[in-house]
Amino acid sequence: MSVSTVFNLWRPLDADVIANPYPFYKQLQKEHPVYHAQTGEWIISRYADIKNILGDKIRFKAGNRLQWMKHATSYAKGKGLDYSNIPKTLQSFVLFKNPPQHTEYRKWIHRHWKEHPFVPGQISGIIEQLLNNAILSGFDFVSAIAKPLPLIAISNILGIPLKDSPQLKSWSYDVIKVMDLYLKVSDLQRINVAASNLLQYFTEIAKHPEVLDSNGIIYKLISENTLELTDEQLASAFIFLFIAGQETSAAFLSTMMYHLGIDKELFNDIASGQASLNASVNELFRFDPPVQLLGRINTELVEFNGLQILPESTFTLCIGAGNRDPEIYENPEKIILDRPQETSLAFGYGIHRCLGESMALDLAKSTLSYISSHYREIKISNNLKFEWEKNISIRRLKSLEVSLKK
Amino acid sequence: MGKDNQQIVIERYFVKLVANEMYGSIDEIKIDDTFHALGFDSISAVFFMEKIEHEYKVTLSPLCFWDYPTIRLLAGYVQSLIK
Repeated sequence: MSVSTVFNLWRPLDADVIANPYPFYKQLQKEHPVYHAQTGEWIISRYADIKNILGDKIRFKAGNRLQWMKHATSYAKGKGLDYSNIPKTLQSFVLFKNPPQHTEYRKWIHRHWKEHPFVPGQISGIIEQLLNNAILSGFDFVSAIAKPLPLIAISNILGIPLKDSPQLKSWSYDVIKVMDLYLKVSDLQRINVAASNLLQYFTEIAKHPEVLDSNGIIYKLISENTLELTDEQLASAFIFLFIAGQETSAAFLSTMMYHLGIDKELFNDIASGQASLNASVNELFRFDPPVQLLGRINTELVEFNGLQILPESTFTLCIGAGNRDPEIYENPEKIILDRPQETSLAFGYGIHRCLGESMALDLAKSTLSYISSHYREIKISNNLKFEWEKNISIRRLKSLEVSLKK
Repeated sequence: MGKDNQQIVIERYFVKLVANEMYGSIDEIKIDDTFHALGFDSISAVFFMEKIEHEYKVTLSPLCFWDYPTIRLLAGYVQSLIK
């Protein structure tokens, strides 16, 4: 018997989609803006629909990933497998919380986050140092800048000893895989090991905050544990800040440099100050955002595009598609640095809007400003073959060989 | 072994796995029923796929479970991967 040809529009794991998801989004948005995927999820790709869902905290709740992990853990337990460190690690992720708990968590974190002592001025010094270490005639931008820069920044803000950060970073790299839409048993195993290590590290910290920088946020959050969280719950909240603070920034810095490298005109426009740094970075975040997919579950029957969707359905929101919706953005496929901005969905919308937005923007602006003012040319030496992480939830390059010319 | 025979062998293995998973009888499992109808969900799918990868030494994308949603279709796909 021959295998029937299977055609599903939802194919986020295909190599061509991983390399460039935008033609795939465009087709979805044009033909089926509300698409019932073979997996049972509803795929949403229009800007207005995504914004409505993210802004509706009554009919849509967050946390489906944590729920799934809890169920998967108890299922695995029945098979004699222990993945219990995964839900323990995710339990205080503010991203998965719903009101009223979400409000309390966010208030607790935000109070200290907004007073963090890390200022943009410090960033260019770090970039300079990192670039001095790299061989400018050819180096991997991802491992030399995109990963360490946010890592140094978040460690400083949180008050974690810098010597611990490379180890924490490698565990965080494995744990962020929980955001992947579809996992395998081998992924669960790897995530669980990393989760266990992170949990242990941060639980120790919760017990002994004296090892931390007392100006850092973690020290203050422990001192003012108004939610009366246990050490393990505190650890989970810190793991979230650590992971969220650097994985997405590292991802964006890699794609930003990729665009600057492949588009000479873009780099020249930025270097000549065609638009403000602020506007330029916002446009790059719109054009190719690091967080590509967000999930929600509806609490009641909802209607989209004339389709009735039963309660407790899973919604997958394509941020990258919404950010190129022609209904909202003229010429969406083009980077227009001084584009009159309709706020993009890059940092989400509503009560879960990214807490670390200002840090991410500062890191991107400083990097852009430093590189465009110190170098004349960026040359990409990957032979135009790029290897992307096999996951479109967070879009990032595995490596990016560049040389910088003065 | 001919291609069709090989596929039948794979289908039989899947039927056994499904019966095992769902505590059902082999006779009740139809190879054209969808996995969903057979009682699978997104979690049991993950473990089912792992067993298949292990048995046939193939690498399957997690989405294959949904792209080839019956025993017959998935067996055909797995067979096409076996050299």
